[in-house]
Amino acid sequence: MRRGAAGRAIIPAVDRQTASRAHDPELYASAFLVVLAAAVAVGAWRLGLGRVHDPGPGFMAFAAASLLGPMALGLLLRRALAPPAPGDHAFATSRWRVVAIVLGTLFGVGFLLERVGFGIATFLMLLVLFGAVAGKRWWVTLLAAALVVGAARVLARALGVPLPEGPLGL
Amino acid sequence: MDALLSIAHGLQVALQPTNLFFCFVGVFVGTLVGVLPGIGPVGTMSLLLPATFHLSPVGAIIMLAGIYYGAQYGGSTTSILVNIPGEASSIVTGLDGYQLARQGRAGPALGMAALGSFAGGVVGIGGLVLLAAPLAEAALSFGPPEYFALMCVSLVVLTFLSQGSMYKSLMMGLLGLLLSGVGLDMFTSAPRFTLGLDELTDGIGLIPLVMGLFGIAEILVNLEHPTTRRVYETPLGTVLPTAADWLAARWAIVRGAVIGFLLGILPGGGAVLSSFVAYAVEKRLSRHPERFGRGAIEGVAAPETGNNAAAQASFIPLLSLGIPPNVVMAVLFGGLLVHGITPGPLLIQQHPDLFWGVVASMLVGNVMLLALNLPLIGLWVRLLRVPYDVLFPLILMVCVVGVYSVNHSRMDVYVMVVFGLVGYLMQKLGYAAAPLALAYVLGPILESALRQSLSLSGGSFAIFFTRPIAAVSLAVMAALIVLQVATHWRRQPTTAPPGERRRT
Amino acid sequence: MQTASRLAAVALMVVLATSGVFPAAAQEPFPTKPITVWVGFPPGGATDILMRALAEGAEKHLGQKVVVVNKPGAAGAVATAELAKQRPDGYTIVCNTDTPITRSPHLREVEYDPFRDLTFINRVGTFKVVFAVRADTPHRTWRDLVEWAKKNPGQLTFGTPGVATTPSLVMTRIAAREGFTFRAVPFAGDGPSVSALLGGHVAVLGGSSVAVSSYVQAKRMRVLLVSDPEGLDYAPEAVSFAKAGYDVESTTAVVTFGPKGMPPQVVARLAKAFDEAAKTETFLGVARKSETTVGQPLTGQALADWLRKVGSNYEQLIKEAGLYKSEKK
Repeated sequence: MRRGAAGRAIIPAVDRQTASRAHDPELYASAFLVVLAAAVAVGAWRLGLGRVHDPGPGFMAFAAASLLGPMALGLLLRRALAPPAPGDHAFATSRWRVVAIVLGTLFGVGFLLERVGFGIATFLMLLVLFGAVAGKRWWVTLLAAALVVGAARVLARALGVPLPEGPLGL
Repeated sequence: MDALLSIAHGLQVALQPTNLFFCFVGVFVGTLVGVLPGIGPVGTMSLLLPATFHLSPVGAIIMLAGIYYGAQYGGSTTSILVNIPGEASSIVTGLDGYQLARQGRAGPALGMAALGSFAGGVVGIGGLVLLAAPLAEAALSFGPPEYFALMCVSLVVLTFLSQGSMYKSLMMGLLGLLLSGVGLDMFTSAPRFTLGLDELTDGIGLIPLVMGLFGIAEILVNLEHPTTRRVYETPLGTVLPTAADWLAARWAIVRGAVIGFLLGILPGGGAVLSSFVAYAVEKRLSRHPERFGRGAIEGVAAPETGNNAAAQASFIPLLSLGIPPNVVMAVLFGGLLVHGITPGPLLIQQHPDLFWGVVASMLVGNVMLLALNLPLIGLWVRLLRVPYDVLFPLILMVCVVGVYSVNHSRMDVYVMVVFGLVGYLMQKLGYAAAPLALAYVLGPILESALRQSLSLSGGSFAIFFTRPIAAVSLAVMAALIVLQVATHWRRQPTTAPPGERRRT
Repeated sequence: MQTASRLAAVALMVVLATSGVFPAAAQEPFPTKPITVWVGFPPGGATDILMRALAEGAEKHLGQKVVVVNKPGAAGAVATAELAKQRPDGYTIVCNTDTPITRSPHLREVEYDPFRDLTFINRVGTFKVVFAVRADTPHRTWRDLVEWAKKNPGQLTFGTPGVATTPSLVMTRIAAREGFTFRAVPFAGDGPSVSALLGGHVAVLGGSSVAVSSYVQAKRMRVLLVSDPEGLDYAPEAVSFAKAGYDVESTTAVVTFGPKGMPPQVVARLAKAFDEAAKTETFLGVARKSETTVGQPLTGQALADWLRKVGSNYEQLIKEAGLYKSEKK
């Protein structure tokens, strides 16, 4: 938090060095939080706030959302009103393709785990990760994936951790 | 004197070859289980429950107990190495531990964690032996109003953890509170924010949340750079903590042990609470608090000592009163039942062999764990030298399997993925994850304590001020808030531009 | 021509041989591979250890491993919902309390129809509900407590293991019958409510028998009321609902069930196996210690009818407590 004379800015003067306001992720993040807080507040209201002496199911959520919302709004306004300046974008170094692949693969494993069994699901996952993300050669990928899955299977059996079995008992 | 004699007797029991064997099996499995993220001691203990049907009660409990505190040792390992907390109580260890690992000081971090854990364990056992009965009774006087007050104090203490923007940390704490409300309402059993999904009726799940927010997010951030770039620096110096480390950490260990022990007796959240309160206290008392979150060895010593002292202390309500203070103790409760022993106030009297045998074996177990974990440090450090592009798929696989195996639930995997993305975005935008996770743990206790208290008092808020412990705690909270605000007005804070990696 | 007839002969032999094989495989007695039992509670609870003890005993009779897997969530409703989507081949079943069948559907919308999507296998045992106070209170009998509550309307603090649990629902009805008001304080299970009673934060507790038995024996608690007409052996002075004149039926039972459409012989086989397992030393020991009443097995139609009766009973209680799903805000 930046501060000039004692006691001035409570809301952090976030980085002012973005090139364009429309592409400013900080803005979107704060906006998202404002919307989220509002949605929660509405949902909490519908659940019933009760009275102060007898809080209902929505009480806590409403209270937290009513604090979070204005705080996020404060950030949002601060950011929106600050003059934009060039500089480091929060997501400058992000490789979204990698993020998507990794998250998608994990999601896929969750989806497939019970259907095709642990062995096949993780084997496929490792293929993608070693191959597509880490960029290993295809035979290295296959070998590594097979080895790891095999080792994991053995370890899981040893610890007695039940893992879903797919066809072929994998 | 009595206690010493009983311990001696207990040692006789504990050092019998069969019991020694079970102790070893327990702590070994516990360490393994603690190291593997997701799979926790509860799952393993319950798996082994049927196997224990045919053992003697003492042997069975020794082994099951060993799994529990063994997992506390192991849980900090993944937290330090790859920023994936193996247990909720290891979240705080990773704040500085992981930074130390990245700086090439994984060895000293792990060593300090192991030794701090040992110190905490020993203090915990000592407290158990000497103070079990009076402390258990004292813990009983903590009713809903006292818990509410304690949670209020804890939430304020949470803010001490934040390194960067306290404003943003507060926001994340509030978000954590919101997330903790998902599930069935305790008082009306109405579903709250469950989006119509049956799987969410028990809430989001701490393990998937934490693994996504810390572990997956960290991997995503690391993958921004070409995978050939070093994530971990080459280890420099010794594998164990240096003299300088010990000097810095000695008070952290002492304070951590005391704090951990006292908080661990309280049912519900003992180990987690103690880990971050110990950390926050160290940071507050330190002359250079800005070092915390960047690789301060005290930041590892305090929570690790704390959570192990708490783990030992959590046996007290079970063994002295028959009240299991957390899920793990509930499994032990079940284990005792299976062997025909109903845990209760008469346990120590009726089964002194069991009680003292188990206590003595805890001592033995802690020594075993030290002997197990210290040499392993060399192995772990070497593991970190594996190129990251081979390492991260393994970590991810372990995460997925680990998170699935907790509840055999696909939803848990999905939750982990979602929070992996959230955690990634948070890191990039300068929002800290620890306050969110910790508020998530405390939120339900806070809410239920509030509503239970108001039910008890028929709606009157006076209950918080007429009961001594609650009133004192609230006064402490007020004092802490004043203190915190005052310090912030005066100190020059550290600015964190978004995009720069923050720990807290 | 010779080749053709040879081929035909071989084909005939193959057909004969395989027709011998496949019917044999179809007659292969169930089970031919391990059975998975889902328990809808976290490990270590009474349901969990009962089932594990039962599983151990059943393994001998079934000749296959019985694997217990915990799938906690909403007192078993999550496991039940998932079970309804499994194949009814008998290899995946649930062992749980009757809550998801008799109670959850009245509290909120659930993804399954308890009486259409499930096949009931057997009832393992039932839990008793007790109402207890600290031993140092002046209330010596249930009458004392009721009188006090009538004289001090809305002052009686009553701890429960949860808002829609049997003790809580039952107390609502009792209070209505007797004409007193009280403050219900729900806790997350028996453990915390026992702490609350011991610590003097609530005046009376409703919960399962196993939660209080050790304290009664240690003379720190007194049981005033119990659901079972047979009373309690460790607390002979406890009055049963029937003796106190309450028309409340309250049972929490541990039952096993599977998805709908399970073949009757599979159901019978499983029921028999669990029956036999319930007679083993290990199981009886666990049942005794966890205060579970066993020995009155119920299967098939009798079980379904009984569950229906319990279900409508709970529907009534839930409505009386104002927790019925459509009445909530």
